[in-house]
Amino acid sequence: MSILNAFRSNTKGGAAAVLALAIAAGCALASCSPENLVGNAQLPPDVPDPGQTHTAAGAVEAYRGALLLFRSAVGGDPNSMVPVSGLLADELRAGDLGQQGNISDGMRVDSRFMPEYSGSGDDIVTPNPARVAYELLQKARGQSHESRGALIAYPPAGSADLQGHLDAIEAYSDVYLADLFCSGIPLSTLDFGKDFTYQPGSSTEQVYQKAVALFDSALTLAVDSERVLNLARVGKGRALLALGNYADAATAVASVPDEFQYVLHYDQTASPGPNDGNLNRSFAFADFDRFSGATGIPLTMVDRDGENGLPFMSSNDPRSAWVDDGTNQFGRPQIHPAKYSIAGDGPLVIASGVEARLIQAEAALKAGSGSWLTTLNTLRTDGTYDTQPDSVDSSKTDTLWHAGTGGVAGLKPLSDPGDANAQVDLLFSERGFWLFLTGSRQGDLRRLIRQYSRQSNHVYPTGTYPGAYNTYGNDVTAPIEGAERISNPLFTGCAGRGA
Amino acid sequence: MRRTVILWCAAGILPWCSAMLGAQSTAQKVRSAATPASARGKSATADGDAAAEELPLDRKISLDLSNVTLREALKEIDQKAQLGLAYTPRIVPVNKKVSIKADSITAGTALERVLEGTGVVAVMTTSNTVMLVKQAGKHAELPVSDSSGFAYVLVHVVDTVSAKPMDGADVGIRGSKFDVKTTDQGYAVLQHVPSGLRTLTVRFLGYSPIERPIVVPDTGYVRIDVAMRMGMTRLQEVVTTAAGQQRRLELANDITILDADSIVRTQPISSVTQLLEGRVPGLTVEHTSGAPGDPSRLRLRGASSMLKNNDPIVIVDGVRVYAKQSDSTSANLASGRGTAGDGAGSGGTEFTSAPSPLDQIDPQAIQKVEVLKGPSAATLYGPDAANGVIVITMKKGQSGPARWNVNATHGLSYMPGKYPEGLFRWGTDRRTYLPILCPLQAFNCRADSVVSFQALNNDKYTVLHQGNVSSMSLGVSGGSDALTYAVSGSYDNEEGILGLPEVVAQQFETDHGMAPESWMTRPQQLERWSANSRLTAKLSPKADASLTTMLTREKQQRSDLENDISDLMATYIDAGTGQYWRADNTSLNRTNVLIPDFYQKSTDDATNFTNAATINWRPLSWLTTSADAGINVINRQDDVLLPRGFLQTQDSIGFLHTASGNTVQSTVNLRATGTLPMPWGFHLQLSSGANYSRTAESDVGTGVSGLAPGTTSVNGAEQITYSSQAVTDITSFGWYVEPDFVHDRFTISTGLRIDGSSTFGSNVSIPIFPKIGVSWLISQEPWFPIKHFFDVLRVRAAYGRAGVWPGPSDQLRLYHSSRPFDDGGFVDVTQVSTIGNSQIRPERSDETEGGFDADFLDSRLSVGFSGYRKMRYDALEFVPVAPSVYGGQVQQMQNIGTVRNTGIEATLTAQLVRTDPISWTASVNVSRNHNLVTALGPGVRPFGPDFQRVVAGYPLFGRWARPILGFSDIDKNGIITKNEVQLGDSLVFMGGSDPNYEANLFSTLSLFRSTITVSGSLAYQAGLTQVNQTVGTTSQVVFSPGASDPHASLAEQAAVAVMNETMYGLMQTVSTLRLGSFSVAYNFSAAAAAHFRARSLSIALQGTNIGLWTNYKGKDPNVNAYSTGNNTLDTGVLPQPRAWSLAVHATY
Repeated sequence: MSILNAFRSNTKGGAAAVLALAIAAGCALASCSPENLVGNAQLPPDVPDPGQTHTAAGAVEAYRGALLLFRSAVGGDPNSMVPVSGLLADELRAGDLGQQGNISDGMRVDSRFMPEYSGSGDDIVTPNPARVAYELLQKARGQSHESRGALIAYPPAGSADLQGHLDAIEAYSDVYLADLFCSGIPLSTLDFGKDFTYQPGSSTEQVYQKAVALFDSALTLAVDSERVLNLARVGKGRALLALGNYADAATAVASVPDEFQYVLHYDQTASPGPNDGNLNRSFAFADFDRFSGATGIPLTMVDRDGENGLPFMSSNDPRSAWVDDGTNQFGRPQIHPAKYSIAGDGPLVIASGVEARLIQAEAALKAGSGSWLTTLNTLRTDGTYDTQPDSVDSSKTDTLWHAGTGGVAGLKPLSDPGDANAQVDLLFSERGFWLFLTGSRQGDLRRLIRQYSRQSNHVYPTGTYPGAYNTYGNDVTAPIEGAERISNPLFTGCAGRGA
Repeated sequence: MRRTVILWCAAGILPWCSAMLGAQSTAQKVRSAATPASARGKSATADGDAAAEELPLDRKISLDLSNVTLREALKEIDQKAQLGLAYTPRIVPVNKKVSIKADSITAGTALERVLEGTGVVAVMTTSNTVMLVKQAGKHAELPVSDSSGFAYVLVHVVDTVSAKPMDGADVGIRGSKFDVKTTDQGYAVLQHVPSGLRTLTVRFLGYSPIERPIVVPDTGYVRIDVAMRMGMTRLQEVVTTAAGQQRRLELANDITILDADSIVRTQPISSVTQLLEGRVPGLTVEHTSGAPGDPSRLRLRGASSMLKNNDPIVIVDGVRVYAKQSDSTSANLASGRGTAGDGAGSGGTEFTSAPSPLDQIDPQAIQKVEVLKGPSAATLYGPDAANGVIVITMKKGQSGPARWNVNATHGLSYMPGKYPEGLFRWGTDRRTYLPILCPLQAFNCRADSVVSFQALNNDKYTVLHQGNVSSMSLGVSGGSDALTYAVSGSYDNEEGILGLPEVVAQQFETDHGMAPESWMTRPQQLERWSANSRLTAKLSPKADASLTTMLTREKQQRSDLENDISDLMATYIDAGTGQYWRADNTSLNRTNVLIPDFYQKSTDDATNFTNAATINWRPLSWLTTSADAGINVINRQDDVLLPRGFLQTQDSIGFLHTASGNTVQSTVNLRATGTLPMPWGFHLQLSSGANYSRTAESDVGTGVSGLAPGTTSVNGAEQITYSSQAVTDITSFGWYVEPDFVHDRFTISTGLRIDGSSTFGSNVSIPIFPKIGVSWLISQEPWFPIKHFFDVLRVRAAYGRAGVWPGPSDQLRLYHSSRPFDDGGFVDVTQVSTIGNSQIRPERSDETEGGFDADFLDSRLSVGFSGYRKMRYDALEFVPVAPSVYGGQVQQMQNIGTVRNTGIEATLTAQLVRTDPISWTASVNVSRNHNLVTALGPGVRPFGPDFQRVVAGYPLFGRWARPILGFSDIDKNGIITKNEVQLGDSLVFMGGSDPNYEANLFSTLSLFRSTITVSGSLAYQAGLTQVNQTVGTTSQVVFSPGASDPHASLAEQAAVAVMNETMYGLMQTVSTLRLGSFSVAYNFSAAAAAHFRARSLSIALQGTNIGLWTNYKGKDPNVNAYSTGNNTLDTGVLPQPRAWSLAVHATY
């Protein structure tokens, strides 16, 4: 008997039959999954169709998007890693010092006075430079996740190399985060094709370890790109160095050629998009413009910052050459590093053969090998020099040392100071100058505390701060902004603010 | 009402004789007769049976009795007609004096006359004698020994007017358990009814109940024919639901039904919004402005969505039409695009709104409108039904000859009343000694006088003039049984009240060497053509079909002159020098320009087309199926034009912004309803259906500047300043089942809807929307104790859930493209723009509603009451995402908010006078809504601008401001300046942006048998907190005494001093009483109408917005600055004007 006949012949049974029929029809039509019902949900202007992104070509564009964000996070923003870490360390100073009653965010970073958000009040406690640097680095990580997912799902030609490249820049982002911020950094993930996954804070050591793993992945994947391999090698060496694994660090960078440089290119040529602004300039355009500055407060170079700082200016070291721009809008001296054009043009080297040699030198020093000094000197000069009359006093003669493998002329060979601490000081000074304003100094200062048992106030700028606070604070890391604590239920704040 | 008794008995031809009494007027005699046993089951006509033999009461007699006792009169009648009359003086007032004079009347009629008013009626017994008994009462007395036998009583019930059988009428015997329903042929059989005199009761909802004495024979059966007259009860109305047509009685919700045809015919109605406003309890109408065609936003039972629209959906003849009132398309598509300006610093286009698609439906073509206010009623309607549903049924033709109707209206409009005078404080500049205007807070001048002035009240300078409105409509309907038609067309033309002052026009001519363009002098124009038709065809005895077609073409023109009203309000004109002075915050500046900007023209050309087809097929007696398919297409061409060289201040190069948009709304519905009996008097009405709905919107816009001199087109423009395109496409599919368990007095309605949509997250299970409701006609219960008090009392309760869909891209991870410069060249890159939410699902509204409907006093008084509690769960909000995911400032749309609306609604309809020459009806509806954001969800902080803020624990879109805590005249100069005012650091709640209380009164008085009809409406609102920016942050300090009045209190000065820091002094909780409409109509007599070859003819004087009484300090609180989104604000935008018109209506 058909359902319909049952319905006709038996009213009770018929009712049930019709109900069952209706439900069955409904379930069949609905297929019980909205995915089967999705039509074309199209988009507002200026927003590409996600479907177009989910192609091999789209994956490549997404990969480029990650590189662009990484470039921005390292040195393309007034508050990117390089200037902010330089401000906290001894490379830069806030340009508005002396403005009593006007405690700028730049001064709070510069003076090492950055209390962590307590969770009970306004979350806008983290100084803006540190907040933005954190967000830029995390954004670069997020885009790397997204792009890697796209490359795996829609692989273009050479997908493995591109994935390896993404691994390397994500690892660098991790290293920068670990260098600049407190222990307890959440490394949440943007999940390709899904939503996102919050993660709890990772200790500084865990972040470096994760970076090492990513560098290893990059070394496995990017076999066809020597540039990426060398980036990964130097990055891995840097991360291992931060973990105190000197020998492995030296091994990691051993094959990196002296002339290698991984360069982030900045350019004052603007992008054509109507709302893109100039995505291509370096931080120097904004931070060293004495009258404007995108942040409104220019930064300036500083000599012997807070007693412990290196003599970046007074040493007249060509690696930290500077340009005197006069005074800025606050009446303070405005000096910018010669290596960065205030037009925003130029390269920013984040990994190089020089750094590889420095890593090897440090490993040698740690191992008690005398090669450390040889390595440093090889970077400085080939041992030859010229003489010529002094430009001021013609009765005197200047010695012009020829460039070593570091490629910078005018650096005379170093002598072994003998004392172990002095040797470390010399090594880190060399690192400071060679890697001046490339985002390395902050990590080095923390390593001096963490690995060489130095006191923070013997390493970081200290003493009288010529700004609103009068004295430097004690922070050696930046706190993680309150927004993370508010929105990420797994994050409960910094695990430690020490080195 | 006179009640008489007529009795027939076919004793001579029947084996037994029965009698019956009819309880109807003499004009409505209903005959009944017994039927021979051999003819059982066949319907016999009363005439045929009664004619067989003359019955005693049919015997003709003549009487001439004057002032005799009833006893004497009865005796006389008994003797002359040989009745064998029997009665007892215990129930018959035998000493009553009566008179009767008649020739050749029946004995029955004679008895009827003399017994009139006694409560006694004549009945015929089984022995062919006539007996006087007490008329039907609560306890009918039995004059003879009872229950000597049993018989069947066959009752046939028909409608008085149509004579059609009535299905489902309740038939019973008073004081017994007999209670059955009539069949679809109108028959009911009462079995084994004890013989004797009984009182038959017949009830049917919507009809006046009938109680009639009958005499039940000792054996066999008696047939009783009953005709019922329709009463006024609303519960009998048929409601269009998602599952088909249902009686209101069976619905557990309060649904407002508007008989649009009759309202539009007698009231000044020019739009659907106007039709709805005030007539739907729980509906709040937010007007954007008083410009012709400007849209309004409708809010049913309060707003619930924080980010999504709160607009109800609209269904026309089964198909959904696009009717968003808060969408971006509510604005002129060109005005919202681009900010490039004209290249000469004009600042780009002015923002203007565009007419609402809802108001493009011709009200003249609408038969009725049903408003489902919330989820409990709208569960089965699918996408966005949580905001309520407006169901529109277009006029349908009736079979018969063609009937024509013609309407013509012409009238005028103007801004009523005066604008508040401004206080201008004159003085001299301390440095230059030149005369300047000198507010209290200005110290660069020495004041010498205070004068009042208002340019808007000055005939020479005002932009407020007289507008006019005209409309015509022509309709014809008719057809045959096989095909009916209703075709109509209408034309509306409205000119708004704004006009350029002559002095400005002259200045323009002087500056430009030409007269200003027409759009500058009278910018506000609205023209609308509409053609509508509905065809219905009977395809077979079991199938019919209908096709609705609507076409509207509308052209709206605006200019930026209306944006100058607030500036003009603050302008002082020195009559002697002709110099203009304009207030600018706490100073007043000399200006050479009376009206700064009136050169931009905005136009919106819209074509709105709808086709809706419905097929009904009844393949089986218990099964009805139907299908709807339709499409609604809206095409728009919007422009904003500033011709080259028109700006006074500089040589403008002009611009043209042009945008075109298309909206396509497609609908397919399938449904089937089966009805079958169930035990215990129930029957199951099972409906199931499926819906497909697709909304596709697209628009493209281009802006060009550098127009060639004298041209107004893109061609020849020097530069393209922008181009843009927007496309959205939403597809939804739903299925529902609705089993209703229907008893004669009791309906349990259940239902379930399942929906899928392209807007839902990919990881979301399909949402389910259930409903359940109970409707109980308690007054029809046998045990109901006070039946005599109620004609009808129905109690009801309902619960339902519905949703509001997410946006088309809320679930998606979207990307941003750019072309950065890298390594010496540009490269294409994409980055994540929004991370999307694969878990996103519809906002969910749960509503519980309960109430009652009651009719009293022979349906002269109808009362309805509802209470509701509507919860919006899963309200969509932007939730900050921790920066560790993708950096800072990242948000994700999540379903986490909760909003509650609770309230009550009451309606009362009364026929205050119901006589032949005069009738007076009045209806009142009252509603109260309490809106509250109960939770924002974790991680979400209060958001929105101060004047429209979303804060947990307070009404949605509430008004907030930093409070003025105090002030002190520190320098003792008698002037309060900003630094002498102490402001609170935190915002304080000032009130809600929608009214809490609304009440509306509609009343119609008909005189001289409806020759003259007077009607009007009053609307009351309270609890609305409006931001009166016209006296605040713009330039209107002259309206604040604190700025100019030397006698102003320090408090008034303080409010002015911090005007730029807080809106505290600008927010005002207001009450309004508005005389919304008034109409006097003269209806010509048929003879007079025939003189014009018309069947009917009327002429009416109609007015709208006749009066406003309010404590609001601005002009009118019911205006908004925003035509999109949910924001409301009074920035001085043009309020609703007053209009008077003369309307002629004729039918042929």
